Amino acid sequence: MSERVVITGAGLVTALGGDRAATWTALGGDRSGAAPVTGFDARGFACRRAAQAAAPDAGALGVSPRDAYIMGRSNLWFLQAARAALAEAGLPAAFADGTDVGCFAALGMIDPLPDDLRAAAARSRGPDGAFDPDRFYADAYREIYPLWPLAILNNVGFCMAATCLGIRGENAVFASGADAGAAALIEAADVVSAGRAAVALAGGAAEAVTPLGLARWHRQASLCPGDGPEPACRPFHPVSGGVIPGEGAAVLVLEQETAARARGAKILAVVAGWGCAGGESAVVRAAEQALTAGAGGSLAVDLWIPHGEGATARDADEAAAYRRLWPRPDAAPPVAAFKGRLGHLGPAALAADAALAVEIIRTGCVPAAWPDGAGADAAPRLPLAAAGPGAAPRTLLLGVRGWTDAVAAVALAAGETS
Amino acid sequence: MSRPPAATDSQPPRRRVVVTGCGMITPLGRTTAETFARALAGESGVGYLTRFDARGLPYTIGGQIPDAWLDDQDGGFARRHRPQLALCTRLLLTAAAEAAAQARLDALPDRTRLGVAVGAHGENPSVDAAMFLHRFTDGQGRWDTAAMARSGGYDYFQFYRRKPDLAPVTLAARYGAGGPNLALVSACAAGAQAIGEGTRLIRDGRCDAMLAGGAESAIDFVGVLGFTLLKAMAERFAAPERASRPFDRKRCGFVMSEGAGVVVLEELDHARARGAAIFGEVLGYGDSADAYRITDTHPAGEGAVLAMRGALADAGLTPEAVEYVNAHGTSTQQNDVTETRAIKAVLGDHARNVAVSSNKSMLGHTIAAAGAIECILSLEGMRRGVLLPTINYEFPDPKCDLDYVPNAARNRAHRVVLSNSFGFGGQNACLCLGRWDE
Amino acid sequence: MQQLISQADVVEAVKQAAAETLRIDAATIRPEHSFVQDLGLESLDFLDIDYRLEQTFGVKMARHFFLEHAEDLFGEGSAIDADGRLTPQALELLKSRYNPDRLPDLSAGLDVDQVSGLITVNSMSEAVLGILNTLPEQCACGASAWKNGEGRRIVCGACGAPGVYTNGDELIRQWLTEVQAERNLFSA
Repeated sequence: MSERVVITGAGLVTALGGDRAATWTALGGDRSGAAPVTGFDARGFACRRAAQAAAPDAGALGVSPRDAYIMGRSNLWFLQAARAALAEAGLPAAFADGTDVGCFAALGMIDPLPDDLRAAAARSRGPDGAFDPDRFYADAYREIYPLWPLAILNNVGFCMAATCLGIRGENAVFASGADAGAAALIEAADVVSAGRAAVALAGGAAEAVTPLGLARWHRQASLCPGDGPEPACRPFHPVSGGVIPGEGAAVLVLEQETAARARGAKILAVVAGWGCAGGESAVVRAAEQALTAGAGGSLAVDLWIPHGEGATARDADEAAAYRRLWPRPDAAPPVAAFKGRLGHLGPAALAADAALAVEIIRTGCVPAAWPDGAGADAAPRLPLAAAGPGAAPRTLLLGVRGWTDAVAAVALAAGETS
Repeated sequence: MSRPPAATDSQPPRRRVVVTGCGMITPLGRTTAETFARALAGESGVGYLTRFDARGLPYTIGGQIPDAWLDDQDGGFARRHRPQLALCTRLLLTAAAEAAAQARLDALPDRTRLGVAVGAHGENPSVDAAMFLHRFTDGQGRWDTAAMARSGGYDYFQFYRRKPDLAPVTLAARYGAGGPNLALVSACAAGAQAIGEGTRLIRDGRCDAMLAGGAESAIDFVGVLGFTLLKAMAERFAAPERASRPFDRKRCGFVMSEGAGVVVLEELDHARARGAAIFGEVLGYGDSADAYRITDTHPAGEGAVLAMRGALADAGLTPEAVEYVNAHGTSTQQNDVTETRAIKAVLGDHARNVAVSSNKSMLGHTIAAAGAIECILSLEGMRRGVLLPTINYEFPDPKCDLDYVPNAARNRAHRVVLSNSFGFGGQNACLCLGRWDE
Repeated sequence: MQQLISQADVVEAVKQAAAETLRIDAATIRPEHSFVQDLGLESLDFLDIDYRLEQTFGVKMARHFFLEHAEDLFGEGSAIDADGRLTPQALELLKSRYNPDRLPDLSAGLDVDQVSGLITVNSMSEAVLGILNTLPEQCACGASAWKNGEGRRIVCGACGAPGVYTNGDELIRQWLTEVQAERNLFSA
């Protein structure tokens, strides 16, 4: 790294709040954002709960109804988080000349919703009710809104956000899991570090929970079954319960430290290192890269925020990696995890953890990993940080793991001049 | 914005990134050599659609890859995993096999230092899947999710085939790549972005080699329907092979095509140490966003200008160094005129001396694969000292007034190329490529 | 010729569609406004407005401009010459299709790129009205009992079936064929 990169803004939208402050306050309690799925009848799915975020207010974000349709809920959350992050950083809500501003986004899958195709499908049915191509081609296909294809572009969230915010610099859109979120943060940090952009947004948006989306969740994760009031997802609990799908978005503003200080911006955290790896012992290798990336040898970690999604087998992998990374128990850091509270935010998960790391650094408090004090009687697989004030960690290591086992780690540090 | 590479007291000289393997599969051929030979002859890979029943749609053509060409080049890996693999991933594996063989990737010492970056969008949902889903919704927003869940949610394998990140992950699995793994979904800029991002990963020392490229196969019901609704494709033409006519006044839209291109990027000393043959160098990469409108590109091509300037600055070169532009050249009214404006804005008076041509006149638009395929054809052109033509150039457009290498390839030694890829929605990428002279 | 939907109704609907597409106040739109020059419409916005009108009235707007249809019917080069300018015949078509008061001075000819600027709220309303006026006397059920249905859609008062219209592209081709039969602008 040539120049230190710092975080000067961190926007967060979760089930527990429409911004970072609200989310943080709620995390100080012991509530979980998980609740029975609303918006559609989820009976029939094994997992019927999710950590659902409030519907975004397109009008308040300055987005027209047409553009809101093209973006969908997920991409509107992305814009909401981006606007909050820029505001916190003291940067314009829309750049007049954004050629020096980059944006790296991690976005999930987009499903062509049957509602968009319904009228065309209805008019394409033959006498037997089956799809009749002749009817479809005759004119039924023209019942589809002609801008619908824009709404199913994988990169539409980025394109709309760039347009709304005036961002014209370096960019990329990564798909589609938690590892994509890491790619976005790492590439953004790299671009800023190398001076190819003065400012870069990095973040992601979780997919909205929809019937198709929930069906996909069931395919790709070990979900927490049911929808009852009992505690659901408890990362690193002996009986961890399973993954809860989460909604929301998180976006960070990255700048070079010298530039941020020069303009008097508040330094929320320093991006101290990053790494990514796949295959054998990927968690360990990614973490080691992140901790040795900077000058001055290996970083000492005060708090580990691993992927910790709450699926028993994958949590166990991370627990094993923890013991390899820190073989001496007396020198091993405590562990925090938020997916039991906020659900699994997929492509937004890493940026969300980073936004919370900013609060941990600021307050010295660590929120409880398990909701409702659940399972306080059971010994966790890893030494979870005691909830509440006192820990005051200065260096935090964050980890993510994609559906496909691509792994990444990012080290964040408190922002004092080193 | 960009900083030219320079060694300073505090920084070592920048790591150089070279290309040690190239592979592609396109409507014109199973390999780089086959595609290049036919492009050199000015052949078109476009014909009437046969992949699915498109009768009745106003758009009826495309650049298709014959089924017989698939899956026969990779030791059966793609065949064994076919149910999980999107067609674009099968194309990607074919292209990667050629590139990996050329680069002798099997002899690579440390696979943890091998990364993957792929531009791809996965598979579109099929008509069957869409109609299947309609059985579970009553048209008023209510879903019978119980029945849907009982039926398996939706088709198991299409779930995997639709995910864009399965393409790079499959490539990593096939070649044991333990380094960074990037799935880029920036539409038509994705292939070039993958090569650009891959170049940076190597430069930054985060890995020593990358499999980078793009793959696309959207010649299906949803893909063709979507762009038909947007009226973006050529519907009026004398013959399918004459429909893609970039910079020609009678151009009326792009021709959808499919294919894949993969390069092996490698740090120069790493390549030399293992005696790898070098086919060219990635000198620079620039990218930008239009931030204009989701529905239209910027009329002055400001985003395109930024991307090209960024690539030149990244390469530490002045506009006068550019000898050829491998244009995005989609054959839409809008792109070709704004791209011409942008080239003139970047190169100034020098634009008159620079040859510009569009491979899409022959190949059609391979979307996420285009940037990678065009990068390889550019490298091959420099190696052979030849400029590929823009075919179907018949009627000059007063607004497109550069040298488009009309209709016939031209012998000309050249050393520096800009290769443009401008994505739908306003993401722009440009690669600056250099000939390799030992 | 239907009489259920008036020209004023159609103009109002076109304004409404343009307002929704362009995020502007419908009250600021005037019938003589050019979509491109006065309202800042761009390429895909036309698709959006057309779709809104199709949904409003249950019609199918033309996907192609009459010049493209003329090229198809009368041969390449018949409407647009090698320099991308309208042929004298195409200019004649333009004059008979658009209100001459609202056309610019055509003495110097016209570039094909300038043609979209001629589309106004009025001309688009006339296109919609032209399609609506293809409503046949009788519904397929035999009744002659068209009435205003939901919104601005015409339905059969007897069987409830929606009104059936010639689609916009077909209507243009019919018009071109008639003009050609009458005036023989394009020699074979």
